[in-house]
Amino acid sequence: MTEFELIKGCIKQQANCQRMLYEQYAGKLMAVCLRYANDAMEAEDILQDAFVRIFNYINQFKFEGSFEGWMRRITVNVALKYIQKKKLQFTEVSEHHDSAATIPAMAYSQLGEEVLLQLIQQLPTGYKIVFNLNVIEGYSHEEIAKMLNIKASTSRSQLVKARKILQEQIIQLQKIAV
Amino acid sequence: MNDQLMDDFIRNKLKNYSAPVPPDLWEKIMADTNKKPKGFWINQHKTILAIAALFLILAGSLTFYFFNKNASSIDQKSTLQQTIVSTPGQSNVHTHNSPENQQLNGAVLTDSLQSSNNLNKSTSKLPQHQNNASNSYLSKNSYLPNKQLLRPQSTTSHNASSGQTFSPTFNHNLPGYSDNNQDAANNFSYNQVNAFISLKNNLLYNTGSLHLPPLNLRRILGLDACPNANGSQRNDWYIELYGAPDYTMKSVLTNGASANYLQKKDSSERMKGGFTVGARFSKTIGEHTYLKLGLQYSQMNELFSQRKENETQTTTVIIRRTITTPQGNSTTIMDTSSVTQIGYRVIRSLNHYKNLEIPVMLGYEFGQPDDNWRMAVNGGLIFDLSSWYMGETLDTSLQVVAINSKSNNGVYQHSLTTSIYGSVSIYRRLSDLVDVFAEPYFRYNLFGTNSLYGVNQRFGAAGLNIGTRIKLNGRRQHL
Repeated sequence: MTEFELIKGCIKQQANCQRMLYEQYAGKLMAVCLRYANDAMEAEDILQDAFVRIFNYINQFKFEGSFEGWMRRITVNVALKYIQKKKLQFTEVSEHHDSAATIPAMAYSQLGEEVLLQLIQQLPTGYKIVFNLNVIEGYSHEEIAKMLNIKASTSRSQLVKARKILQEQIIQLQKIAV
Repeated sequence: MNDQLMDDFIRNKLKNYSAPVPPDLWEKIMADTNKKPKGFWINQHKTILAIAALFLILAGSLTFYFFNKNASSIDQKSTLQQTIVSTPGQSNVHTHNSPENQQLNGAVLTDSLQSSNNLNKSTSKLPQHQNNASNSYLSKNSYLPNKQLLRPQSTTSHNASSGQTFSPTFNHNLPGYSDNNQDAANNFSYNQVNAFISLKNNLLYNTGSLHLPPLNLRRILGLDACPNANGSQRNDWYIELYGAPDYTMKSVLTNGASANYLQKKDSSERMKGGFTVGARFSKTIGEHTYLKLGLQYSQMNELFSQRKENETQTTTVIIRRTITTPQGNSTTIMDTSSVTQIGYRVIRSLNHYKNLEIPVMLGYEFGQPDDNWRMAVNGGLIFDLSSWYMGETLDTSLQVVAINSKSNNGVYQHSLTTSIYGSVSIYRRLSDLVDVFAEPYFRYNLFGTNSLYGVNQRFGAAGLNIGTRIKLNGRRQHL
C-alpha cells in the first residue's frame, strides 16, 4: 500500500490503515518525543497525544510536502505544549553547570544514537528545546522565537550554551572511552 | 569538533533514529481516538452531510413550528366563532369550549358533568332576564331546531347537530316545560341537559381532536384539504424563474487510477464556483403541496493549474545594421542569433462543466397564499439531460490534455447523472399573481462522472436561488 492510499485510508478512519501508519512511524516519532521529554514515560504520553491528533487531523494534510515532516511537526507541537504546561523558563545556566552524563563507560567507545539521545535529554529544558528545534528539526531562530514566545537572541544564546555543554560532554566521554 | 560538524553529526544520527515503542501504546491511542472529540474540522464528505443535515433540521423545525402555529390559529378562530354563536346564552357551546370537556376519556365523565354544571351555574349568576333569555333561547332551539344551527358547518355545527340529536330525549321533559318562566329546578334540569349534550358531543364527535386532527401523510401533504365553496380543490399553476450563484465542491474517487495520478490531479484542479439559471412549473397538488418540474442550466467552473518543468524556449534574434563605407557605399548586415531558455511553464485554464438538467421536486409551503411572507421546503432530484465539459486536465502520464468533449469521445463519460436537491424557499408576495423568492439550496451528485483515466468525479453545490413566481391560472380557489 502506498503512502497516499495509507493516508486516504486513515482519512476514512480505517483501522487497518491507522495501524499500518502507526507501525511505520511510531518508532521515529518516539525518538522525537524522547528528545523533548524528560523521561520515557513523558515521551510515551506525548507520542500517544501526537498520534491521536494525527488521526483526528489527517484530513487536513494537503499532500504538499513530506507526510513524515507533517507528522513530526505535530509531534513537536504536542511536545512543546507538554513542556509549556510545566511553565518552561529559559533561565541562564552557569557555564560551569555540572550536567555531566552518568552513562556507563562502555557506551562511550562509539557515540551511538542512544547515548546522544541521553545527552540531549539531560540538557536543561530550555537548551534542549532550542537545540532540538534548531539543529535537528531545522527551524530558524526567528521561527523558534515565535513558537516559544521568546526573543530570537535568547534562542541563539540558548543554542550556543547547549552546544557548549554537549561538546564538553562528548569530549569527556571520548576521553573516558580512550 | 566545531559547531557545524557537531550539529551535522547529531542531526545525521538522530534525524531518522527509531526508538522502541511501548507495546501497549496502540491500545491507548485507539481508546483515546474513540474518546476524544474530533474538533470542528470536517472533510469534504462531512461538509456535504452536514449541509444536508442542516437542511433537514431546518425543514423539520419549520414544519413543527408552522403546524403548531396553524393549529393554534385554527383554535383561536373556532373559539371566536363559538363565542359569537354562544352570545345569546347557549351554554352548551360554552361547555364545549371548557377545557375540562375537551377530555374525552370515559373516566372523566363525572368531572365533565360537574364542570358543565359549574359553567351553567356561573351562567345562572347572570341577571335574571339574561338567564331567562338564554334558557328560553335554548328551549326554542330544542323544540324548534334552528336550521342554521343544524346545518353542518364549521365548529358550531357539532353543537347544532347535537341539538337535533338531543331533541327526542328532551321531549320527555316537555310537560314541565310549557312556558318561559324558569324555576330553580328547571335551571338544574337544563344544566344537566346541557352537560349531557356537551358530553355526548365530545364522545360522538371527538371534538377534542377537532382542532388538532391526527397527523398523517395526506394531511401533512395537504392532500385532504377541504374543497372550496365551488366544490373544487386548489388547482394553481405557477412558473418560477430563477438564477443562483453557486459555491461548488468536487470529490474525486479512484476508479482504477493510481494514487499518484489522483494526487496530481487533485493538486492541479480547484473549484471556482458556478451558477444556475432555470425555469420550473409548479402545480399545487393539495392545499400546501407543490409538484415542481423544470429545466435549468448549471455551470461549474474549475481552475486548472499545472507547472511544467524543463520547458525550453528558443528565441531567434535578427539584428539588421547598415554600414556606410568610407567610399560612401552602404552595406546592410544581418546578424542572426538564437537564445534558448530553459525554465518552467505554468499552464492555467478555466474549466467549465456545463449541464442541462431537469429538476423534479416536491415542495411544501407554509402559510396561506394571501400571506405576504411564506416559506417552503423543497426536496427532489435533478436529472442530467445533457452536458458539455471544456478545459484541460491531466492524463495518466501527467500530460495536459484537453477535456473538450461534447461527444462520447471525451475524457469524461456522459452518463445520465442524477443529483439530490434540498432547499428552503422564502416567498414575498408582490401582488395577487407575482411573488419573489429567495431559495438557499444544496445539491449533490449521486453517481458521478467517470473519466477515461479511472477517476470518478462527483460535484456538489450550495447556492442561493433568487427568482420570481408568477401565477399562471390567475384563479384563487383556495378556502
